[in-house]
Amino acid sequence: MITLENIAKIYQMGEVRVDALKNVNLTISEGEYVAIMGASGSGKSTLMNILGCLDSASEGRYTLDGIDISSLKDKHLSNIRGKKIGFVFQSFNLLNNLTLLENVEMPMMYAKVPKSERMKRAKELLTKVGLGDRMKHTPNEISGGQKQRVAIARALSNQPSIILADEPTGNLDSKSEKDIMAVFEDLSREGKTIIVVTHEMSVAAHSRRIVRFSDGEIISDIVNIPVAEEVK
Amino acid sequence: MNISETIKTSLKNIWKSKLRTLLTMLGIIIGIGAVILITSVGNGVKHAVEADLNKMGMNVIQVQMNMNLPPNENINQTDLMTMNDGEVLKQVEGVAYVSPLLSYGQVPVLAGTGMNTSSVSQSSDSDDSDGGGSGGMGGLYANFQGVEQSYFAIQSTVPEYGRFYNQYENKKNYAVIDDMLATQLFGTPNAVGKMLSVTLNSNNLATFLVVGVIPNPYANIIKIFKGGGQYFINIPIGKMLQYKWQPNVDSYYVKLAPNTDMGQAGNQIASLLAKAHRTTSDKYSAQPTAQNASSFVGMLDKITAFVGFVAAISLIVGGIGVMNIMLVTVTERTREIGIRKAIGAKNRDILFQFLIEAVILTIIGGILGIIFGYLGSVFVARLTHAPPLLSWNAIIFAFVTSTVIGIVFGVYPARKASKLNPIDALRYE
Repeated sequence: MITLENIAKIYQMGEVRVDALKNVNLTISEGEYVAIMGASGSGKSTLMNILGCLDSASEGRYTLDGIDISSLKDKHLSNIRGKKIGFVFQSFNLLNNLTLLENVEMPMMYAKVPKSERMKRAKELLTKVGLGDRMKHTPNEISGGQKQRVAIARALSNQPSIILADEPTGNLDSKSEKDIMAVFEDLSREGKTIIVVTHEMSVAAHSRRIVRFSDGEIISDIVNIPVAEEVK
Repeated sequence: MNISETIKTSLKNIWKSKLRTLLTMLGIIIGIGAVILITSVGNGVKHAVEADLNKMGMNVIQVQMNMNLPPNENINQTDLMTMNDGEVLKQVEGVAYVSPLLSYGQVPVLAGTGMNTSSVSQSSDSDDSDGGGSGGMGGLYANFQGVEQSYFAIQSTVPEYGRFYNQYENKKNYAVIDDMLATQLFGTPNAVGKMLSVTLNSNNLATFLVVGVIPNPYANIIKIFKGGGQYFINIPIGKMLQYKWQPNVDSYYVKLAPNTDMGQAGNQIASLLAKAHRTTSDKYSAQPTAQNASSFVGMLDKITAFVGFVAAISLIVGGIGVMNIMLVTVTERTREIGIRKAIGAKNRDILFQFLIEAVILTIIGGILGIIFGYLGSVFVARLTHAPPLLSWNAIIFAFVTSTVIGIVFGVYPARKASKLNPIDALRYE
């Protein structure tokens, strides 16, 4: 359960004050599939960083599963990043000098999961995203869509309850986009909380709730009927 | 992430850029290599010299007139030591051997009887042709000294060829020479039965029959310092007293039983001599010969330590090189740091990763430095003629130093990496 109360993020650049987020109040329950939409500069990425504990809010209160995030130091924040949240980035952010298997294993290394358990889980996850036969390859040897699937496998490795995806299909063709969105739907069905930041309606259309941002404020928060269900 | 995984990751990163790694380590390799080279060569020389100086024997006291008397005191003719003092010194507690020594100094020496000097061949086929007695006209010089037979026992030496002269041959023209002089004079160390001549101050020639050959006590030193060593012609003391036309001897050598208190024995010697000569004991100096050795070796130690220290300064330069590259690496890998932080790496994990990378870099540099330094010292040792000695101390020093350099110069870049803000790091292109 995510609760944001009066969250504000202010960047002071010399004389200029930029309010990236203003008075944001948002609650996301466990198992929700939420799309956060907005034009670039609307504050959606800033919100994403705060939700992901990569950045802290200037004002307001952020509680995640009852923990007050605003008061935490690096040691605990990194723990939350590692165990409660799985990140999926637009540019994949895989480490190119490691194999796919090692990439998926890495969050578990930081979470101190024993080696044998790590290997087992990483292999399972890579198989699940359809890359079971490429485990010893490096990210340079696979396509963009495949990279994003590895990134999802990595995000899932510590069995987080929340998946945060920042423009996950921004660098992908429409075929790959469909694949990735299908993976998110599966995860949603498994009960993961999924938050997707996007400016593309085709992506947001898969979610069940769409929160629109403009100039750092929420301008609408509506229930959405997912496209996948419409088709059925 | 645990240590072994961090080390594995670091090794992987280091291996990925081999050329850069090697260049980074170069400063450390050269610095450690230089220290190892210098200390190995220095220790080798020290060891060889020490071995020579210790041949003079443990538990030996050299008795001389004290040359450092206060200005108001003088050494009188009656104070000087004579052959009679041998009996006096035999009263010292724990005495094993006593021998007087009277030196004629360095004299020119020739093979043969000196009647036909032009035909004397001065062998130069040995590899020591450049060692030993230097002197005008290419002649050979040797230490010409009179000693009793017991002197050889004091020096713990045995004849290589032939024999020593005995007490009944005290006035005979017999000589015991060292093997290096024998080789120089006769082309073979076995000079027993050969004749040699020395030129005395009065330009008279004195001719001797070689009865015995002993190993040159300064063989190592002669090799190392190229002619800094000496050749020896030992003749009976009685004969030498005749040549010098005097009743006095220069010094006495007294060998004591093992575990004798040398200081106490020295005091006893001085007071016994003072009593015999009816004078004060401060006229005599009785010092263990090992003291000369230890003071010389101590000086060699200081030289080695100083040159080693100068070489160690280059390690600081090497360390700065490592820091420089680590800073570049941190900048290059900013994005990686961001990714690692986003998936759960703590500041501490990042700090350790970069710190361990720096330390591994310097330790590998240190190991290569030890290897190259030792190989270098083997090469240099061919010039000094003393086998190099790689001590454990030097190896431990190299390890500790390279680790410390890795930590000292790695900590700043590593801290910088760990303090990176994950968002800024992720956005870094």
